[in-house]
Amino acid sequence: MTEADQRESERFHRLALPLLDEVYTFARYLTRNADEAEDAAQETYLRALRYFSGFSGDSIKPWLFTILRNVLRSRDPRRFEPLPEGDAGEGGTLEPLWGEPESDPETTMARADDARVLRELVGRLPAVYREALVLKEFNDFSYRQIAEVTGVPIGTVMSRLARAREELQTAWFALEKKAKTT
Amino acid sequence: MTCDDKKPLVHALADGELDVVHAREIEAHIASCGSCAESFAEIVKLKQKLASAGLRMQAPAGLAERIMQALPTRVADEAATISRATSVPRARWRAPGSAWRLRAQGAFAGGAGAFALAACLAFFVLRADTGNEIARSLVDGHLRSLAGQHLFDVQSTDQHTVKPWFAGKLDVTPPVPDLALKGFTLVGGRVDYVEGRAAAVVVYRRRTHVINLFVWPGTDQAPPSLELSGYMLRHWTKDGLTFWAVSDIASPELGEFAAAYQAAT
Repeated sequence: MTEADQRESERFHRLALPLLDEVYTFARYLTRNADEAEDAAQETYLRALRYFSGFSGDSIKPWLFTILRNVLRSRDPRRFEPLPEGDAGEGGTLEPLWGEPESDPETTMARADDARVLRELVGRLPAVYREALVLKEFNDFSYRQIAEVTGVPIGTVMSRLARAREELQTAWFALEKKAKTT
Repeated sequence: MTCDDKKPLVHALADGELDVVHAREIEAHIASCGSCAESFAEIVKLKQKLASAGLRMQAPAGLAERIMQALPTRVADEAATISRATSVPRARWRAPGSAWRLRAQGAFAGGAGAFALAACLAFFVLRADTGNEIARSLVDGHLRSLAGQHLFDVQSTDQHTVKPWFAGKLDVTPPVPDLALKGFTLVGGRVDYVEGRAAAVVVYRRRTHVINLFVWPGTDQAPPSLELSGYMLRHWTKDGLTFWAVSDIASPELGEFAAAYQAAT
């Protein structure tokens, strides 16, 4: 390794590694699977390093997340496709979310573990709504950055975010109501 | 604008994404509208819930280590096997393309349901007429400016400040007439990009509405008047320049603007 490579590698450590938790969080919400999320995060960093010499922007985060998104998509080409018409959501048709036991919101609600219930409900949102919400609320992206990373106009980002929150609230209220009546 | 139209802006206010002018406008609306006030409060409450620690996750302990171990050898490998091309990453990171976006619109339009997709949203525009890329780009640019991202590069009600500002930035210097007497206040200018080319944008205001006037060299053919998703567009050419005015004011009013501008230039 030359000295220049060494310097690049150090710069990469300094800029990219502190974002590992955030990269993992996004991957985890999008894959809803711990192992897959870990693999995707690792692959993202390896790819990012490969392309790092071409990164010249001042903000590494959107750049890194664009790679992450490509990694996630290459592992499942249909991941970010919007829902077919008439399909209300992904809930119910999939394997248990997160691959965790006791992750059923109905039973978890009773234990008043809000964070866990919310995590579960976020995981059930359609992928394009979910990614907008996660990028905004957990990764602190601006609308403009979300538009950049997801490749859609800002207007679309705004509507997706509004929809995501609306569905999340509806699901939350439904659970609350259920918890009260049982 | 109806409350449904304002919904995305209420979210944008909660997210701190609005510029001062629009934030004030939406705040004023919330103060006078019970249902928007309620949804704003709910959005804020939800955001607080989502901010709780249990929702952001930590990478597994071994992951950072494994990545760190992989890195130096990786660098060496790459250096040995490929000459480190610098052109790859840019192209890659712009990858999600418009084909994908168009598919998204179809699905959204279908599954929209109660939510007012007819709101001030760009993709809806696309669905209406996917062939009209230029109009879509213009409305996108208009929306971007409204979302508080980039309304002015130079903010001034003085035509003698705004016009020379463009001269240093672009190879086109649009006329910047003072139309205050006609009811259109000059508020500033910026450089924007429409379909990859630089455009001068002169920004006027009618009451609380923004009018973005995009100007670039050339005499493009286009219909003189278009409407997309509630946004009005007027198009004309003059002295080798192409003009596009975009706004959410009523069509006759935008026509009035176009006439006033052309009469003054």
